[in-house]
Amino acid sequence: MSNIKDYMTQDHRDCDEIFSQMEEAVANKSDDAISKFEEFYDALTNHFKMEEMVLFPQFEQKTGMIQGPTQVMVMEHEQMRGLLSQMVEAIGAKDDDKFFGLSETLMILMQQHNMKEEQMLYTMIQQHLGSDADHIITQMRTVAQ
Amino acid sequence: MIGGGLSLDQSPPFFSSGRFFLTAPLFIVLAGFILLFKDISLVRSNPEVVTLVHLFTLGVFSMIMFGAIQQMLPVLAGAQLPKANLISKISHILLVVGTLLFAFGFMVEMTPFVMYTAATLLLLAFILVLGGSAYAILSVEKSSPTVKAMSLALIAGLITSVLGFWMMQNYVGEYDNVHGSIMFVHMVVGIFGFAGILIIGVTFKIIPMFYVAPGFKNFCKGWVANLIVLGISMWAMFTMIWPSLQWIAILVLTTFFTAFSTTIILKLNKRRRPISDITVWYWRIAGVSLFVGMFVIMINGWVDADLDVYVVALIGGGFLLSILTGMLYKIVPFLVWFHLNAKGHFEIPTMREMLDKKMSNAQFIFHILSLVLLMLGVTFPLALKAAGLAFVVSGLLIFLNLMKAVRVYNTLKDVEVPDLMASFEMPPAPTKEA
Repeated sequence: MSNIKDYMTQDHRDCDEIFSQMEEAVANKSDDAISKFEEFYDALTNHFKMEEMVLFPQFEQKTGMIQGPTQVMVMEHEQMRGLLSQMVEAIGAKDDDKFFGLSETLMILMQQHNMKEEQMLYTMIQQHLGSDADHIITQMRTVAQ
Repeated sequence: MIGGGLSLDQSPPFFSSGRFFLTAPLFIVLAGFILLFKDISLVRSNPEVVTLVHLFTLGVFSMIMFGAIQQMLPVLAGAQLPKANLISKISHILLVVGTLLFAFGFMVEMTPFVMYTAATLLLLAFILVLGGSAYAILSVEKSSPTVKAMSLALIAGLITSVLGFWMMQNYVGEYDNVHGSIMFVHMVVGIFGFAGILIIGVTFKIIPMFYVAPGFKNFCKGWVANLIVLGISMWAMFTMIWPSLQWIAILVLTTFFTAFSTTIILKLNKRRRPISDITVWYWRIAGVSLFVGMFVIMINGWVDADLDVYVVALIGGGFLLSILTGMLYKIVPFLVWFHLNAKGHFEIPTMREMLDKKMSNAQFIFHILSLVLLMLGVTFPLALKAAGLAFVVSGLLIFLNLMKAVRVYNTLKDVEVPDLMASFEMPPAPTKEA
């Protein structure tokens, strides 16, 4: 049977990998910089969608913890979305200094967010929703397409 | 219930850790002034040397680590200090006043009143922050290798502070022959146990995070803290019981820390983030200093020469102070951004824009100068004055640069922002045509 924690953790790692490819491409002013950025943008926002539309609501329903950890995680998603949209502007204006200032902030924010999720929230989610993991992962894949 | 007491709360208030981060560089300045204006002979038992060492270990290292622990608890362990802001304020005052009184006691007037008061204030500061953190971690009942390492570091810090308390009362009480051995254990547990484990634990997390470098192997993360504790316990035990076997423990610790220092350098060389800044150099210097410093410790045990000052300059200055300074340059601007953004601010200078690059580059040079001059001071006493001056400049530059970021925070924190998030919509991702 699948494991939600492993699945989501792997998705974090995939986003990290695309992030570093994207930074490399922008720094080298390579031709695929914009498409790498698009790829990262989609990967990250799809991850948020999987959590916000499937995983968190099911967890909240099961545990009744509505004002709890999931709410804080969603607030941090908003902070990351804000940074992403500023990065869109910076890459459009070809302002590398601004871009890397923002990407640095995003990276730290993303990593400390991931740590909280991987070390705590996903473990709790796996404990509560683990028996339904296959079904939930299928649902998440659907919304992420 | 699973996760009872679990808090994924965003972060403690900015100044909960900020006040510690901003105070630390001022203690570097104070230590610099003492080196500059006092004629100091570099002997371990000299009260002025004891003072200088503690202005760094208490006023700088512990100060920064207290701030960092409070910042890391929610992220690493999902825990928060009970009454976080109050504990932060009280422990900050205790640590600042305790450290200043400690210096006063050793340099001006070593009366029982001064020494007991200083010892009590310091012990209370450590118990509040480290004991409070241990309590918070235990109440979460969730353990990962990082949390375990952090708990071991907290225990080591508490042991160090209790031993320190004992020594201070022993200075003004009936001198006990065991004082020398206790001092040794206090030193080793403090540097390698408290600072060492904590910094290594944090390194595993932040090198990949700040520099997009490859992560550390799980074996590394899982065993590191245990190996250090084993090395330290052997060292402490042999020192007390079989001094002739000390070298075995030193070899264990040296092997381990040299391996760690090499790993830092290798990971940084493999980092993915193409953009470099001064903090990368801080980590490199830390890796090299730790490597050389451990080598000197080993030789120190075997040859008949007093290499203490080199060990202190390399491990205390080159390793610990470098890493902690590099961390301040990242953490403070990030926290300013994070807290302002969480208040709804959208147009905030980026982390890079908050600090003055030229100032941090210059500070790095003064930092290196201060340590080289300190080592030269063994042979040329006049170099110690120059080292003092370099410490003063270096500390001031860190402080002024960090204050630039804090000013951004203070200017914007009370400015009301319309609720952008309520009507916030993601702009579309850019396309190649755009």
